[in-house]
Amino acid sequence: MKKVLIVGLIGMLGLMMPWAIRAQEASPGASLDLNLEIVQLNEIYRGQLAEYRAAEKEFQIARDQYRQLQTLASINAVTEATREAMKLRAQVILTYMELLRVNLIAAEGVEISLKQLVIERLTVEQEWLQSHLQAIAAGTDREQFNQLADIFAGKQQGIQTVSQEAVSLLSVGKLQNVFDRLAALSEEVAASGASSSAITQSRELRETERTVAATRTSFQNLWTELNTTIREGKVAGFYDNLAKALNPVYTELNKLTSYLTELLRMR
Amino acid sequence: MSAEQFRQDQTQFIVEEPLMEKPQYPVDLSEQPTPPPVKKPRWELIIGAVLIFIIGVIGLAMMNRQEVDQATETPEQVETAADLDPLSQRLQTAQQLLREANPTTLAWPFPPVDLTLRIDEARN
Repeated sequence: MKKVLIVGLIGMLGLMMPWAIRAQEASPGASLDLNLEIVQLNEIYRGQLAEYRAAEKEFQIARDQYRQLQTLASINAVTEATREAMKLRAQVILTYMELLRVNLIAAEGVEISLKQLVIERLTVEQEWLQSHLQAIAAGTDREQFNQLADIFAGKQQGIQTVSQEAVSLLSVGKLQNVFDRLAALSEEVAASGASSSAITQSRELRETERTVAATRTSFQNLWTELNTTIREGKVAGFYDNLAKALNPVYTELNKLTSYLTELLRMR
Repeated sequence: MSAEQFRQDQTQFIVEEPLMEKPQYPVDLSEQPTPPPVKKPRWELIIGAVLIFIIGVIGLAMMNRQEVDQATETPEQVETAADLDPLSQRLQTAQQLLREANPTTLAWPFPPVDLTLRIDEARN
C-alpha cells in the first residue's frame, strides 16, 4: 500500500508542476508604493490582532486564578499576562492608526487642510502609544499595571475620536473621488456630444446635469458638517450616522453612472 | 509361420495383445511433482497504475480546458477592452470605485480589543 501512496504522490506532484510554474510566471512584479504598504500593514494588523486575542484569553485566565488564589505565583502570572496583553493591544491600535494614516495620505478627494489636521492628530496619538509601550515594557508589579490601565482608560477616548475622524474623512473622500471623476466625465460627454441633437436634447443629459449640481451641493454640505465636527472634536455623532449620511450621495452617484452610461451609448 | 502370416492372424493378435501393451505401473500420488504456485496479481501495482492514469487523464483534461478557456476568453476580453473608448473606460473605473465606496460596509472598524484591561477592579 505504501508503494501505491508514494507512486500516487509522485504522480500528483509531477502533474502539479506545470501549474506551480505558471503561477510563478503570472505573479506581477510589485512595486513599493503606498498601496503595497497598505497591503503589508493589513497583514501585520491581522497577525497582531490574532496574537492579541490569544493574549487576552491568557490574561483573563490568569486574572481569574489570581482573584481566586491570591498567591505570589498567581500575582506574578497575572502581571506577566497583563504585560503581554497590554503590549499587544497597544501594537494592534498603533498598526491600525498607521493603516489609517497611510490610507489618508494615499486618499484622493479629501480636503487637504482636513487631511493634514487629522494626519497630525493621528501622529500625536501614535507617539503617545509608543511611549505607552515603553511604560508597559518597564512595568514591574501589579500596581504599576493597574496605573497603566487607568492612564490608558483616560486616553482611549481620544484615540477612538481621532480614528473616527480619519474613517469619516476616508469614507467621504472615497465618494468625493468618484463624484469628481463622474462630474469631469459628464462635462466631456456633453462637450463631445454638442453637435448631436440627440444628446443635447436628451432627458439623460438634463438629468446628468441636474444630478451633478445636486450632488455637488450635497458634498459641500457634507464637508462643511465634517469640517465643523472635526475641528470641534465632536465627530462621534457624524461617525455613528456615517452610513445614513452618505447613503443619499451614494444613491445620487449610482444614478449619475446610469445616465452617463446611456449618454455614452447615444454617441 | 512367416512374419506376414503372423500379422494377418487376428486371433493370435488378440491373444498376444496384452503382452504387446506397455506395462502400466501403479501411480504413487505422493511422488507426483507439486504444480508451480499460481502467481497472484500484484494489486498494489495495478491500483497504483490505475491511480496515476486517472490523475494523469484528469490533469491533462484540466490543462486542456484551461487552454481552451484562455483561447476562447482572451480574445473576447481583449476585444471588449479595445472596443471601449477612453470615456467608457473612465466610466467603468468610476463605477468600480463607487462599488468599493459603498457606505453600508464600514471599511476601517476600530480594532475589537478590550480597552479596560486591568488586574484589579478600579476604585471609584
